[in-house]
Amino acid sequence: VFDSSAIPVQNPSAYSTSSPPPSTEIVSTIAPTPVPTANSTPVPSKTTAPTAPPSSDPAVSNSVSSSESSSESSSDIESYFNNCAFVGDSVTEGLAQYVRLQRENKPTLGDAKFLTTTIGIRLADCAGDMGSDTLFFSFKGSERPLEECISEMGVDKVFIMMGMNDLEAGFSVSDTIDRYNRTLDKIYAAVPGVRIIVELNTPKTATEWLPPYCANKDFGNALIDEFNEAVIKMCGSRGLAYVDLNSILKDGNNAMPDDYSRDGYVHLSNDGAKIVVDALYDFAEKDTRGEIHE
Amino acid sequence: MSKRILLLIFASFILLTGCAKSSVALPPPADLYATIAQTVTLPEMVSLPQDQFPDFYGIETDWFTDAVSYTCLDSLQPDEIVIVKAADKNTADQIQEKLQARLAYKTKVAENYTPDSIPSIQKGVVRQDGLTVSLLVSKDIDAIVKLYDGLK
Repeated sequence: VFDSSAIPVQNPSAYSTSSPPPSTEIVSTIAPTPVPTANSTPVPSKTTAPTAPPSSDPAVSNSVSSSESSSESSSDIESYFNNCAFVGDSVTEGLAQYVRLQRENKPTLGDAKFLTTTIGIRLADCAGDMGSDTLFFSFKGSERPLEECISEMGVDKVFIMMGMNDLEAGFSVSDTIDRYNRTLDKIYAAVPGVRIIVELNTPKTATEWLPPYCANKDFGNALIDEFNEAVIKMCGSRGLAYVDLNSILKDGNNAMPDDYSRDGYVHLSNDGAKIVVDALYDFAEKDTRGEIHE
Repeated sequence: MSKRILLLIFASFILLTGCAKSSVALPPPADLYATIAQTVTLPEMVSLPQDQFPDFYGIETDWFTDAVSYTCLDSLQPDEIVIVKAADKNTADQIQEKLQARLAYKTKVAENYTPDSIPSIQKGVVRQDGLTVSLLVSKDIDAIVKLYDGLK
């Protein structure tokens, strides 16, 4: 006997964590929430005028910023990405989809796993500062803290890129770096010995347009650059390697060319994702040769 | 006498065809997805390998005998078609629970980040047809549901 039952989606208001956005544009709708920490500071006033890309700190010799290699890779390099996870927000989720598409035809980034979400996840969520407004990754069918997910993934290497949603929400660079540090601490506590490689945040296109519900009206490449500079310093102080996924995606105007963006804002097109994948292979090759120093 | 036999045969035929129709299993997941893709216009979709179902959905590989999952290449779009042939009735129920959780998470995502997707996700469906459990999220959901119902 046929057992057929259509189950309509439940009332979405049951899951609501914020008011519906006033428009239908695709960007974070997270309203700025006061940071429940004592050292909360206002977001510095920024413009979207082009600025120089994050400089390579001579003291930090672990960056990789090259898109010269192709996506064609040897099996040795493929195996570099085994037991590895890429963690991030909607930008990394776009990369994940691109990689899955490539894998339908050829090996791409080994069998690296992806832990990503388009929910607008912030470091403020991962650090545990958002209280009842906390957003989570979904893993194994349920919403769980980042460090718990990574622990269960059983990987020994994690590439992480986060912070853009924090900047969009209006959190300061210093608070976001503080949360990055605390998030990394949580990961290390949950997965002792795991190697973490930080990816610098990818850029925004040159448009000065921002969605009406973007809390931080000063969000743009200048702020992303400032944040990435702070990330580089964080990596230096913690002895972490980082991969520059920012300057490789910029044109002469210090912005991401429209061709590299799927939505004319911050999310990567296939062309943009390919450049990122190439940069990751570059990093893997240099790391394999022992040229990455932490 | 012969009239009675004919009636009996006719009644048996009706009964058998009726039963057969109501117990027809849906096509294999890949075939069903192909039919959906031919019936409605889907955006460019990307397949998720079966061995990633545990991490992605919480659906263990020994819960099913066959499965496909397709999500939109543009991860900001909500389209998602998941068709799983469960190993048995118990695992079918477990799979249905996991796909409902997936739909609930997609709802949260839409409310927080991709409000354009809310209408499609609100109309999203998790359904169980025999041992086939499906998650269907598409702008053309009505046509897909009609297709499913037509296969019964």
